[in-house]
Amino acid sequence: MTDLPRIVATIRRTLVQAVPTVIAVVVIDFFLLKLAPGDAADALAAEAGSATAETMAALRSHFGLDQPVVVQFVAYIDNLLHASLGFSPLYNMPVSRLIAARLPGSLELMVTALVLALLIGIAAGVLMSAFAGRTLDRVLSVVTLLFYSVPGFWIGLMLIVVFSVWLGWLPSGGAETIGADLTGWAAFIDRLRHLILPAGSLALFFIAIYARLVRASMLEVRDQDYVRTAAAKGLSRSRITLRHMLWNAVLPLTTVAGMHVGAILAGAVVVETVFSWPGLGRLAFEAVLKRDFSVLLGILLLSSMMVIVVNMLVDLLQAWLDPRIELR
Amino acid sequence: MPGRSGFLGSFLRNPAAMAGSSILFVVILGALFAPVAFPGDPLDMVTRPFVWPFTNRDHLLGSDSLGRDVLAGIVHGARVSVLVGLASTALGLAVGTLVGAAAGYLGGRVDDALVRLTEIFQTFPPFLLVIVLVSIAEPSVATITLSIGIVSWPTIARLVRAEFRSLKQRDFVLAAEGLGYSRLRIVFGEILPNTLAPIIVSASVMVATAILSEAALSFLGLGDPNLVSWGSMIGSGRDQLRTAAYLVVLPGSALVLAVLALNLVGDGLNDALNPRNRRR
Repeated sequence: MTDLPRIVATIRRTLVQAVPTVIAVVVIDFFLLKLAPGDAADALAAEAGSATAETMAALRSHFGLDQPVVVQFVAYIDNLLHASLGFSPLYNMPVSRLIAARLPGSLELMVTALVLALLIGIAAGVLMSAFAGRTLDRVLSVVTLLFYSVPGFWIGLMLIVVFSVWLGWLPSGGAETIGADLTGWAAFIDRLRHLILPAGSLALFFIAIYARLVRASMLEVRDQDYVRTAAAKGLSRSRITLRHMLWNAVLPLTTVAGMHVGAILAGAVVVETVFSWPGLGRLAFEAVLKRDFSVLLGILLLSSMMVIVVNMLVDLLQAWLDPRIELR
Repeated sequence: MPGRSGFLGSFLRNPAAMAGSSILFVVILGALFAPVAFPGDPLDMVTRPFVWPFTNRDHLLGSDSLGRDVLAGIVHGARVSVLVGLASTALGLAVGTLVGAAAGYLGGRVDDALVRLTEIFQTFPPFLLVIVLVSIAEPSVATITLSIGIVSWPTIARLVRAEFRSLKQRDFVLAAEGLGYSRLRIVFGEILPNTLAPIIVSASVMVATAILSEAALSFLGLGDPNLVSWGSMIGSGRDQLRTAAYLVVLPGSALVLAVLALNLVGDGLNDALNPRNRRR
């Protein structure tokens, strides 16, 4: 196998490209934090109700806020290198611990939504391309355009009205029934019931995107020689569609995956707020309300890092899947 | 290149695009004539709370928990959506086009630096960055517009750069260079007009995205506190979701219709401007 050196070279190239991006993101984050009105001392003083000039000064020197900006920046970098995103005075705990507590909830929601969107989106895209120009294609086109236009927070509220208020089938918020103390299978079902509505609301937009992308690339692939060859061999249409065309049509989806990590994180902010889902998005929203910028920027930084990492993984995946992708 | 009549004709023959244009026309009319049709502040109490829609001739779409007229809110809300949508898109287009044109036409080091800059901006989850920017500045129509514009330019920059890179090798550009045209004239007079088709299509999607972002911001309580917007109406109606769902359904439907209309127009423009890509 000659794959290994190629993949090692890809890893090296993507790492070299990612380093300046990471540095720039950290710098932008730091200066945004400096631009934010008030600092940790103000926040603590506001929380306490009142503070004398001496306590404020003491607080500022405790958090290093009386140091020159350059010193503060070096301290910030030093913190980051020690995997610390700073301290949240309002929650009275390190930002990284706050984020670590909320990350699993968000990942659960985002991964479920993404899997849902891929399954439904690809299926709809294949159906649309198979019936291109006919009634089914037209109907699905309108439906996907509607999905594309509906804001996640509004459809979330509508789903609550229908499935929680009217039908009473599904819970309207939270990640599990509080105080039910369920275990095993019952606990799994309980979590699943809580997951359906928020994951569905979040997935809708991506279902539309994937369906449209897959439809377009299936139609593109359809005219290529190898598909004609497969047809000439006498293979059935469904076999050609599923075994020969689908893989090549789905590959372009990976290129947009990096962008979608950012978009789905942003979508999670509103959807988690609607469903009181204990995740990063709601933490970001709470941080906005309490004007806790250290938490907000920690989440922003983490999100950027997730996007960078996913982009690197996509590069690797493509280099592995498609040997024609050359080294630059 | 398709003729103008060909473009217009194919757009006018597209029922979906025409439906979208009609809805947009109504939304813009509402935005323009809201102060005439519904004079006074739509945030003022005008009747008793919780008048249900279609039960009172004076308040056709009912009233909310504070006795504010829902229809007046929706029509006035169109102003914020249209204003933020258009202004932030104009900003995003201006910055994106300048960056993309400079990178694509000049190439070399300038290109490398600008591509890097674009990539850095694209690592930020767009809506999250908007939230951070708006909450650092005070929420107002101006800061919301600015934040959405700042977040939206990279897409346009990438698009314009790609177009410029392919167009600058073409004969008409080489001819213009041979004639001694200035660089500015070549960029804005010769190349840019030929990149307008994809820019226009993206612009319609950008307006839709901006309207959705503004609505989500207002829904989260980060909108302009002095103005009524569809997002803020949904946000305040949320507390009465179980008893008066129409307070969420009605402004949300206005939002969905406006965004759907923009996307229908965008699809129609795309089909009309790229006849080769038309549905097969």
